[in-house]
Order: sequence, then C-alpha cells, then structure tokens
Amino acid sequence: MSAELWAAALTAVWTGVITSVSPCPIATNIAALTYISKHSGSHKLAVLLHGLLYALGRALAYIIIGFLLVKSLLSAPSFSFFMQKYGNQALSPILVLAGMYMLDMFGRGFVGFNLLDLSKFKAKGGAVSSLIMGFIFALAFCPISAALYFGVIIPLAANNSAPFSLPLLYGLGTALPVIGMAVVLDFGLKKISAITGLAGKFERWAKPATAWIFIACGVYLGLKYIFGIL
Amino acid sequence: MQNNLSENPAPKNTGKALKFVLIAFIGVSMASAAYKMAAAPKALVAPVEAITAPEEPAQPAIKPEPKAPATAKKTVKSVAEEKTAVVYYFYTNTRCSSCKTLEAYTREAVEKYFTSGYKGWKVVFKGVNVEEEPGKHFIQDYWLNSKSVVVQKFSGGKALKHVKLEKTWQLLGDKNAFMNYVADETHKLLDEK
Repeated sequence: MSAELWAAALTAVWTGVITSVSPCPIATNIAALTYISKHSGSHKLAVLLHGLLYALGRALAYIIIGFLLVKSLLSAPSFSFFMQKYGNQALSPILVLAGMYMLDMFGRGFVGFNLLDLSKFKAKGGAVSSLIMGFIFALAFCPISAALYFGVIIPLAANNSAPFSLPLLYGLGTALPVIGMAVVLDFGLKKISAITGLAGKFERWAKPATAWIFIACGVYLGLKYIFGIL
Repeated sequence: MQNNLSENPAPKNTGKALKFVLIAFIGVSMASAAYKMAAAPKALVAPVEAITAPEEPAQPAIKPEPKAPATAKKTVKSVAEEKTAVVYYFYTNTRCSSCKTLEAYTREAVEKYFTSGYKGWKVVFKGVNVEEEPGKHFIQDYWLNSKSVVVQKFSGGKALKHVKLEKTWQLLGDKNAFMNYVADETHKLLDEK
C-alpha cells in the first residue's frame, strides 16, 4: 500500500471521527450508545461485537451510496439534500416505534418488527439489529456528514481508486467514538456490578432505559426536523 | 414491562395513555412531514440570514442601480468594470448549531479581512437559502452537497472563476484556522488572472 493511500485511509478514519463528535448526530449517537451498551452483561465481548456490527452497518451504507454515485445512478447534490431533509424526518417515527416495541407496548405476541431484531433467531438476532441500526442511522445525513462524505471521502476514494475501502474506513470512523464510549461504559458497569453485586439490576433496567432513550431521541428528531421547534 | 403494567390498573392506564400519546405523535409527525413534502414549493420560510444578508446579486450577474441621467454614462461604465467577489454561504431551512457557527465565522472572516476590499476587488458576504426558489439553482451550479461556502468573482455583470471551500467543515473547530482559510482561498482566487 502506497504512502498516499495510507494517508487517504487515515484521513477517511479521522474524517469519520470528526463527523461523529460534532453536535449534529448527537441523537443517533446516544441511541446507538445505549442500544450497544444494553448488551453489557450478556457476554464479555457482546458490547464490542455489537459495536463492530453497528460500525459495519454504517460502513455498508456509505459503500452502497459510494457505489451508486460512481455508477452515476445517483446525483450527489440531489441525493445529499434529499437525505439531509428527509432522512432525519423518517428516523423520528422509526425510533419511537422501536422504543415502543422494546417496551412491549404492542403486546408480547406482536411480530411486526421481527424483521428488525429477528427475535425468532434469538441466538444471533440481536447482532443483526445492531448492523441494521448502523445502516439506517448512517442514512440520516447531517450537514456535516453530508459535507464530509460527499465533499471529502467520495473525491478521495475516486482519486485513490478506492471506492470500497475509504467509505468503509469512514463508516468505521463515524462509529469509533460510540464504540469507545460503549466499551468504557461496559467496563465501568462491570466494575460497579462486581463491587456492589448489582449485576442483575442493570440488566433489568437496561431494556426499558434503552427504549425510553430511543423514544426521546425520536421525539427530539421529530420536533427538530419535522416541526422545526428545536 | 407489559407484565408490570397488567399487575395493577393505574400503571396499566398510564401505559395505555403513553402508548396513545406516542402513536398520536407518530401520526401527527408523519402527516406533517407528508404535508410539508407536498407543499414544499410553496413553503417559503425566510430565516434571519435572508434578511440580514447584503443586497448583492444571487445570480451570477450584477444589476446596475438606476442613476441620474447626467452621470448615467459614467455609472454604466463603472458598473460594467466593477470587480466584485461574493462569498456565498448556502444554507437550508433546517438550522443546526454547526451551521450557524459556519455562517458566523464566514461572515466574520469577510468583515475582518475584506472590509476595504482587496486589490481593487469589492468583497461581500451573502447568505442564500437553497431551499427557496431563487436560490435552488445554486445546488447544481456549484454542485453543492450540504451547507457550503463558495467564493465567486464577477467582473461587471459577468461571472468569472469560483472556488468551493471544501475544508470549512473540517476547520470548524478552529476559528482562526477557519477564518484564515476563507481569507487565503479568497486571496488566491482574486490573485488569479
């Protein structure tokens, strides 16, 4: 790998990190953080695995968009402005519905969202949901993610003939702060649980807490992007 | 949660009320989004920048102000030769804190470095909403992807070269670097023949 490509790879990851730590995607980052952290306690590597799948989901979205742009199946400006306007609007009801589902508000027998968390395949279903969450969240473009992805990553990928690797690294970069925080949180929670012996309590509260955070984030996005109140 | 709710009537009712409130929120949100989407071309919201932006041309053409007949010939000539650079900030109806910072820094850079112009060029700041009809064409004109800063130079009524400042979002965390970047790129563009 040439020095130029190494530099481009580092730029892609760093650009992803800059995107993620900006204020704009705070709602989706909080939702992702709580969802990934909710798996703390189920397995020692569960949080890391869910974090990586979340990152992969994001990367997948950026790779697909990049591919469509390269093949001229999408116009970058039109697509970018469309997703900035409607991506977050669409995410609002999705997050509220997902939160309601986690709270069993549709009843335990409700199977309408089984497509999303594949609860019929419990052994691996949760992991797929993290991947899908990453994919959907990546599509909700913020001004900064749109500017950096379409303005920096896509030209960089085109110049270096790396249409897959650089969007992939950018996607991983956008998830890195969330994964880092989730791992730290997981470590902290395990320590607290070991000291206080409250391991069971955290697991009991993790699901409803995640659900309410999803609802709060969904309401926030609705008030901001649909009603223009915030 | 469902089990807890069904254990006694009060939480069950609260749970039901919450459920209906959330469903109502989803319904109203979706209806509102659909209505806005359908009425998009008519919905013209004028944010602050549109009002406070200087009265410079949105199109790549500078229209001369009407002048007194005695000086008309001279004025037409001076307008035709007038060299102007417009530092555009393109925004949308949805505002975000980073976008406001981007606009404020760009405006400040123009005020700090170009109050008295540059080598005979008059430099002005202008905010344009690309979701409103007069400004929509800029998306394709400058191949915009997001809120962006573009410097366009004009000679008289003729649009000359322009530069899109791609690094503005990356430099947003460093005000001095951002303002220097805007100034340097504008200087470079204006120094070009």
